[in-house]
Amino acid sequence: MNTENEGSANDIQKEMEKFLGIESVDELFKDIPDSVRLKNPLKLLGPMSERDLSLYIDKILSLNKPVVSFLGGGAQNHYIPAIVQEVITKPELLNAYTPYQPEVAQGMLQGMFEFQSLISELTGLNVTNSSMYDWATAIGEALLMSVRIMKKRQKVLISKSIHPDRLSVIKNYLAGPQIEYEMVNFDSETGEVDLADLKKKLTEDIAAFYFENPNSFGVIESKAEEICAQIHEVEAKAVVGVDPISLGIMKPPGKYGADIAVGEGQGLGTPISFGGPHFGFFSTNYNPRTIRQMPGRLVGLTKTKDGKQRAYVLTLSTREQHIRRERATSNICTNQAILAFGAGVYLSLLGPDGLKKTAEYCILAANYLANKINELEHFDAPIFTGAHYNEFIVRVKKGTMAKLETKLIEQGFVGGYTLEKCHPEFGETAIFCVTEMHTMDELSELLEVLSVYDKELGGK
Amino acid sequence: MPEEKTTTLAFYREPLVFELEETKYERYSPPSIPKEIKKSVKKPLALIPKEMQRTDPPNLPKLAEFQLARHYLHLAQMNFTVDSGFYPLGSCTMKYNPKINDFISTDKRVAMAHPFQPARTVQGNIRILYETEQMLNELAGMARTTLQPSAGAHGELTGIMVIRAYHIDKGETRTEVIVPDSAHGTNPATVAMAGYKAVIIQSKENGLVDLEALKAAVSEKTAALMLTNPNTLGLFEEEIIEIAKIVHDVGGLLYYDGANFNAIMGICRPGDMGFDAIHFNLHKTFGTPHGGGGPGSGPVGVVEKLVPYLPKPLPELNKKTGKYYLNFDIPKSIGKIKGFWGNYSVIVRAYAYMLALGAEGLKRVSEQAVLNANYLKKKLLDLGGWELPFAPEIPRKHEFVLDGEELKKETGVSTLDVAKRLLDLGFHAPTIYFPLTVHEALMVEPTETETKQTLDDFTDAMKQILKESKENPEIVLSAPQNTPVGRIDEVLAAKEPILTWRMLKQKDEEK
Repeated sequence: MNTENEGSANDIQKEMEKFLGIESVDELFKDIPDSVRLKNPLKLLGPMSERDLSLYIDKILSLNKPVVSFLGGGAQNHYIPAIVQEVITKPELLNAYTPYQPEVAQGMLQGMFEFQSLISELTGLNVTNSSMYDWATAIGEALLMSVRIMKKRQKVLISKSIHPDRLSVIKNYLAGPQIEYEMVNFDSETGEVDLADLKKKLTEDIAAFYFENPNSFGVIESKAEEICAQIHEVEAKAVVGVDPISLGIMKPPGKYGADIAVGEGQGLGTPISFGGPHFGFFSTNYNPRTIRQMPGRLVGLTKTKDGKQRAYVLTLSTREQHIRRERATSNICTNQAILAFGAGVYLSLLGPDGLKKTAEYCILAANYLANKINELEHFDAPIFTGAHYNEFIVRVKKGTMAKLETKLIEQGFVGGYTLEKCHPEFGETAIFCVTEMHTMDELSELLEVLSVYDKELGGK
Repeated sequence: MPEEKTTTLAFYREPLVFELEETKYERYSPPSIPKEIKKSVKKPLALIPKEMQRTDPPNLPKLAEFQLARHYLHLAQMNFTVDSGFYPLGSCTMKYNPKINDFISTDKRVAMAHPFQPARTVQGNIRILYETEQMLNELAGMARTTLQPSAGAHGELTGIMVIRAYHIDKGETRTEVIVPDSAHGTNPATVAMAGYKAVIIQSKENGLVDLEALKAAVSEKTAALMLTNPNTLGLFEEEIIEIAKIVHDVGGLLYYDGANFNAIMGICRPGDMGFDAIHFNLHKTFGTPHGGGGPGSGPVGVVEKLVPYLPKPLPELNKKTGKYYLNFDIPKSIGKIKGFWGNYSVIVRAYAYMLALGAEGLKRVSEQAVLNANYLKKKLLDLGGWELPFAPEIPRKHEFVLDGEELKKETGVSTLDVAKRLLDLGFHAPTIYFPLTVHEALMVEPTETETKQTLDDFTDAMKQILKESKENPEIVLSAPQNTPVGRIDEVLAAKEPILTWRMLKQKDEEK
């Protein structure tokens, strides 16, 4: 706001004040006790003109170092087609609120219905909600839903091959209602769920088992169907975390027995943005009883009251906080709507072929890179024998990882995410992620840097 | 008189993407797999264990970009946005979102940075987290703020979990959280999710917290009181110091729901009122887009004694080296509440918003928001027909709640009908039927980014609706007529749910 040369604007303000019978705006705050009124101006940066703001932030961002990264771990750089970005920045969609007045929000609602539908086609489960905050919180909500459905069972199992950050989030979601959890081991050879350990821990008091496919080591759970069958033997719920792009070529979780599928939707057209906002998806099969236990917003297809036209509306709201308050299925209100909308655009644009090709690029390029790294004398990749999708763990000789990281950064690369804190038993390892964003040149250059380092370590 | 003014929304009978005609025209093509890779690696299918291969392709549409461009433009044109008109949705703060903020958020250094990059490659990004936190601390009078939570309700959960960790660490088992009856629905839902019992207290006649009821409700079981100030009626809790004392005296803490923060920036601070924790709604107060329902961002600020329990990591500056880093070494931290560090591209927008306005500018935001609300409140009351329940003599803050009970009795026109008629006249409706303490509630929040002219136009529309209600209520009762669809059968939607294209097809097959 400018303060000078505002003759007309000042007159308008005076007119408004006069209408209210006050001398100044300050009178509208007279009910705030003097003891809590601020006496001095706040110490904040700014104000800045738009030019100065742009320059200031540009200068700050220039402190970043541009790199080509091979980081994954729940956020992957995938190509974002221009139309996805264009659609989700349309002011009609971006600057609307949650569709509380559906007659003037049919565009948003239809797009969300399409999102729900498209994700359901991928997961093979016929209901998908209109998004959760992210993958990790979706898992937390899925486990809580399982416990609500299973009523008396107050314990869940979680696969140990999960990323520690996601586990930390889940623990917070389970802490309030005091749901117990136990970890299920992975096979130290294959990296897949240890079926014997699972069987042992799957007792009649278990509400659900959560595992990921591919898991956080990049390993495909080849026995997913058997895992789900085992879970169902004790009538517990199978909750599976999946990579939506991988579902272009991998079996949908609904086909191998998942009761709830969740996952990170960020790869479907959402920029990685230093960690957020991303969005979680949440699918299950329709059942009139259990649907009442589902968290999050649902858009339904219905008709206008005169029965003449299709219309979309937020539905089954009696599950939600604004109606049910302390008895709601979740406290979630604002979700990740526009990003989910964008995922609908992404999937509609790519179609089955585009998604398949993208997934193929990921799996082929990752396996190529793993093989090539494995050829180096002082590198071992992947460390598990199971089949890998687009992430894999690289092991280096003891005492060489930190130096490698620096070498890579010097050459403009960031390698994998180091696992030393969460899995010290693997030795010095890092998990690499490859997507269709990585060009052949980048892969070759990375291999070149690794190969030079390998030689420095005394390799051939 | 805006009699001729109608919505600018387009009317389409837009098919679902699944129903659009397939085309042979060039479709989107992902990058080809490099030859070297093809030569050296097995075929993709050979890399996937047989039992995990997809046998049928997913039933996704096969469309060309030009079809989608048209499809989504049609959808957009059926959507009301604050960029096209007045959106006085109470408690939602639908202010204008400056374009520069969106522009900055798409900078590649923001959009493409991976959260696990080593700190030395993302100094700029961590510095933005750091400076944003500093500004939020100062605005709320808090010691530290976590930027991790995804939205307001997520912030509430984070805040209550932090409070829970604090009590547990002190060796106390507290089981109850007190919530006034006028609170947002997320408050009691959060309480339940965090494993506490929600104790609801009735407001007193003037709409504010009843100190006697509060005294009766607190005990050694009280973990916290959740409060919105100004509350959902737009009234400032003037006895806040006494309220804080009552809760603190039994060892409970005060949680501030920041949904209404737009009313008090630069005027007073939750920290100075005795609050121990607060969440901000960056998507409400700090001009970041609501995205038709998200994403938001709900940072949580806390006082010194709660800092050890905040989610990790927190952004830090090493003053010696001048380097920024993420500090994971917080032994008593509750851990993580979502993946990574927060909704960064939303945080960047809020950061830019605060920088552009500065301290004085943010204060003017609140002043203008409150002036606009009180101006519009009086304009609407002067029309007659609407009541201002609770303490009519006290100025409202950024929003106000009218009661349409009399109008309904007199004409049969409910607040819902008025809301629908407003859509016909080119306005988004205010929030309706909230707070629950007012039966025919119309909750209006004009925000600071509206001109007097807009407020006057809205008043004219409300005047017209009052007249119609008395003279020709059918027009109001059958509204909206002038929108892409008329009133929707919500009962059918819930009775026979169709939630996806799959369910629609399954229903069709059953028939």
